[in-house]
Amino acid sequence: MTPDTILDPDAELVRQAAQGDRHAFDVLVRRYESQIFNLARAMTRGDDEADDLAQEAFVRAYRAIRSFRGDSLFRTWLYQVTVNVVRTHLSSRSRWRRLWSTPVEAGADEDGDAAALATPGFEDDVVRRDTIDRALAGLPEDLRVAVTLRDIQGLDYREIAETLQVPMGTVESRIFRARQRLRTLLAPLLGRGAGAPALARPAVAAGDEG
Amino acid sequence: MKGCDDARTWMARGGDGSLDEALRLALAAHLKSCAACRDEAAGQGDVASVLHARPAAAVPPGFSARVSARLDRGASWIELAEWRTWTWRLVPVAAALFLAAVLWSGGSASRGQAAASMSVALVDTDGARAAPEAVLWDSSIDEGLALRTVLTGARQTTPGEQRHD
Ligand SMILES: [Zn+2]
Repeated sequence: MTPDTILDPDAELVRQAAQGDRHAFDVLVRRYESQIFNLARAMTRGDDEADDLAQEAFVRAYRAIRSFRGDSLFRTWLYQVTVNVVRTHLSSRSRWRRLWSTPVEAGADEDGDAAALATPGFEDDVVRRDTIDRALAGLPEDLRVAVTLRDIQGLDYREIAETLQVPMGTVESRIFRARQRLRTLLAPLLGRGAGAPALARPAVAAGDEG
Repeated sequence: MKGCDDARTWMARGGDGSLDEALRLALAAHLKSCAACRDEAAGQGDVASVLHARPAAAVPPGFSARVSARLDRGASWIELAEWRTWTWRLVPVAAALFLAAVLWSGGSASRGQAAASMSVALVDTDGARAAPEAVLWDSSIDEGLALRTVLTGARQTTPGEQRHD
């Protein structure tokens, strides 16, 4: 809508969807379903829950698409909608849990971790992903979302700041602290993965071999 | 010490690889001479690598078709679960029926009685806030109050809201 808007690869489809073209929106759903589903999954653990929430995010996005002004990328806006849907869900769920659950749950998760790590087929994708997701689940929600958007979804800091509607400095600090905590939570993975994928972004380590 | 604080700030700022050249060089210089910050930086990079390599979960089959089906349907489950939504949507209906009930009660006694009981039911729906369990969805109420309310089965007021005796 704004004249000097960022070049958004989705702009045309978004425009058509905003005029009620469901086919155009279907294309957007298929384009982003993996990212949105995986974001919901990393934030919640559990396929069924993530499936429901990812669907909900797309439904809300479609209903609100006329309010999207193109101030950010459509993708950023879609992330924003998803984070809000998941947060709403998590806050109502945690309210129930705080009221009714016994505190055994956390301990049970740790036992699960230990068992998973001792399994011979540890390198298996599913187990590896679950281990990461469990570690993420051990973070406070604000740290978890920020580091998920950065290191799993690959958004840059500016995009994350827009998605979460917080200042850049907040994003930087949340991601830094999240990684500090995850270093402990992911210790077994980090230890075993010494020679592991160097396909990460250079991040901060880039400067140390100067 | 001061150098380490700066270095960590730069690490945080450069966590997406976008640190500007001058700061990147300053950080590199500090890391050369400081083992603790080198370790911190390595940890940041290691965690980022592991997360980046997280195997993506496959989208469940039929996902986009289910989204499509939901768009064909009415309100979503989250909207339905938000009691404020349906409560407030019913307000005009309840008000109209209540008014009708009041007007009718001016007529025959038997008709007035029926209308009065109807109005009670409608006012009750409008005031879902009054149901004890409704506090669980009310974000303005703190946990302690919510728990007391649910356990005692009676809606209690927050201190600022009404005088509590
Ligand atoms: Zn240092």
